[in-house]
Amino acid sequence: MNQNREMLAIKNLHACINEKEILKGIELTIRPGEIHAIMGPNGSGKSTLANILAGREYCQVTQGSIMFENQNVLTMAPEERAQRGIFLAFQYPVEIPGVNNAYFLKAALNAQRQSLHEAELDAVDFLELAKIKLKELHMDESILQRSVNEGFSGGEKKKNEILQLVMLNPKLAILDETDSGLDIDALKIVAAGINAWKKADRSVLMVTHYQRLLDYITPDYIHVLIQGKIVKTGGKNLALELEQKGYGNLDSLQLTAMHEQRQ
Amino acid sequence: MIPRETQPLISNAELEKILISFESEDPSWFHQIRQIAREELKNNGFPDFKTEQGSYTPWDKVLLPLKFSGRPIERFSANTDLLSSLDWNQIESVIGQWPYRIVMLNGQYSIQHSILPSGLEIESIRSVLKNSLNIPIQSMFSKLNLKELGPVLNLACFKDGFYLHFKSNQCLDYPLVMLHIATQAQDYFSCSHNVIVMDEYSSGTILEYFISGNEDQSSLNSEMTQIYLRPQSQLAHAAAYLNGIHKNQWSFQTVEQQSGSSFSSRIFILGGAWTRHEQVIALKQPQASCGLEGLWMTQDHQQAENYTFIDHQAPNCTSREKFKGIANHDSVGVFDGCILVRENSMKTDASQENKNILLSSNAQIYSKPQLKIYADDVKCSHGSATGQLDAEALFYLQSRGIHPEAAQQMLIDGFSREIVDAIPWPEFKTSIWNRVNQFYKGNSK
Ligand SMILES: Nc1ncnc2c1ncn2[C@@H]1O[C@H](COP(=O)(O)OP(=O)(O)OP(=O)(O)O)[C@@H](O)[C@H]1O
Ligand SMILES: [Mg+2]
Repeated sequence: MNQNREMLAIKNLHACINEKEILKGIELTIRPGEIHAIMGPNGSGKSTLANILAGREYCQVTQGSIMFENQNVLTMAPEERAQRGIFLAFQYPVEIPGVNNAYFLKAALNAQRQSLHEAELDAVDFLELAKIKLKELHMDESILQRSVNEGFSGGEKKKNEILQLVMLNPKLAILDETDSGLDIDALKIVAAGINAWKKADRSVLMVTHYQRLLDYITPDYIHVLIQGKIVKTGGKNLALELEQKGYGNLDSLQLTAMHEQRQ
Repeated sequence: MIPRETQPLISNAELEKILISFESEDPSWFHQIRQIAREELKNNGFPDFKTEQGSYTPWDKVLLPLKFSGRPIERFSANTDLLSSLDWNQIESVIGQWPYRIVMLNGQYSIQHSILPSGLEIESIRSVLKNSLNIPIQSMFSKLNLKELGPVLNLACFKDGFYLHFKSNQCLDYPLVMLHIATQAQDYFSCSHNVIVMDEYSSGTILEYFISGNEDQSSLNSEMTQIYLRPQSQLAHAAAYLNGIHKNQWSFQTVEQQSGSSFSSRIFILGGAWTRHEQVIALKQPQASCGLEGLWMTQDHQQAENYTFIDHQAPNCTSREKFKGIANHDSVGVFDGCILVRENSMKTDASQENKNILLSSNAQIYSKPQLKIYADDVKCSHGSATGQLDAEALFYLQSRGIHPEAAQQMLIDGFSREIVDAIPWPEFKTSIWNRVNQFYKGNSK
């Protein structure tokens, strides 16, 4: 593994929603195998960043660049980003009535295989694979026959995201508050699932508010995002510090950031 | 709606010619009814009946084939080339294999293609009309409401059709398939009229398929069916309109339900240039129930119209309605559903639901739910919603690597599933799914 190779490189990223600037110059580099966590107050722009990476259209990028494996992500359609290995586990997974979960998963998997010029999985092979992954995540097989996320409990929805993650086997997983809504046992299971998926060259960008997820998935870096800017980056101990002191003591940093911006 | 003050599409002289070409030897009692219908046609101007129900319809296109109806239509059914040119393997690949079927070819009964169940009374409506001993049939016809264009046009012109009689306790073991095939290189207008009577405790299923090729010329078929459900009888009906792109179809169904009878209806409009399905259901005695479901999908310049009128005339009756529609390109979809609960119809339980999806900014959907409640102690609900495909869901699917077109088709399938999966006949369900799955082609304009 080449430690210097960049998987994801975000440079000076500015983005607006409805003409309001939400991201104000994000700098972030993720190398293969690294785990990054983003923490920050509500409304600071964490999900916006995650959604921009996945190709959500309502967030408009006004400045800056995002490169994934040296390719310009910003010109790629959402499905192409997915096919190239970017995966977003949604903070709020969408319910899709009438679309069978197994059918959806198989379509997603085969779309990806097709883009890689691999043979499509037939129903039997797909089911075999799905059953193994379901078991790893301690999920009931019946979830395959339900409509995508429809009527799922909060925890089931989050688990369904991770099921998709381990089935699709992306290179970069963006986890937007995957821990929220999971009970203590489910959190352990989900974390174990993610750790099992994560090989040496797979990377993770996870958004979280709590230390508890970081207990199971140890980050290499923690970034603090406040008002659309990364105001502090540290090691895994930064989270504990934040948990004790809150974001308040970073206000001065934030003020400096705003001050710099004005100048 | 804006009333059209234009020249009648079909002049009285033309109308006269049309009516002459549909002249048939009627028994005198029926001749009178026929005359009333014909007078109504002439007096009201054609087709501009003053009802609101026609306001969405492109009458000029729909009625064009009428102008050509001066040609004797019998000529076509006598054409043996036409009969032998039918590819039954292909037809059965669409409709599946069924033991019983009645085949209507260009609106004419084709005996050599039909396979009738034994024990079921099936007769030509023409011979039933002539049988003066059949008093019920006289009162059935004389009670028809001759104010709307659909039944008026049908009664003024039809020459034949079926009379189907289920005797008490008779249960048909397999569905009776009615196959309407239009296979014609020339414009034509055809018209048929059917009567179905189900006696006490009888039960049966009727599956109708309307199929035709994408031939160049347009045609109009008018089909009216009167259904009488005696106490505790059960009829399940479904119709799949899978016509080619130049075919206009106008179906009009009246249903009279007596105590404890049940009627289920499933309407699928998935083809044709213009397809209109009208249902008038009278729940005349207690404990009668009806369930109407429908799904339409239109694209290009297609138009699909569903009209339902449910008349709760007695206490303790139940009605359920669920219609869904999808319109793409420049197509038009209409749902017009009225529930009338009359004064003495206590404990009525009625619900109506209509959901539609617009796939293009040029497509139009008109949804007109109406509840008219004149009784106390009733349970009535209705809901209507028209929107676009869920953008959040589309993004979710795309974010998993699924191409936008495939994602849209998945959402369309998901939207339709509720109606299609409820079809109890596997072959019928398959033929509907095959159509639904192929619906989405290319980006919506
Ligand atoms: N679709 C939208 N339309 C308008 N404003 C939006 C939209 N989505 C997000 N915003 C705004 O953008 C800002 C950043 O939101 P974002 O969801 O990125 O925050 P977050 O850091 O993920 O917060 P949380 O911790 O609560 O999830 C907020 O002020 C939010 O109201
Ligand atoms: Mg968020």
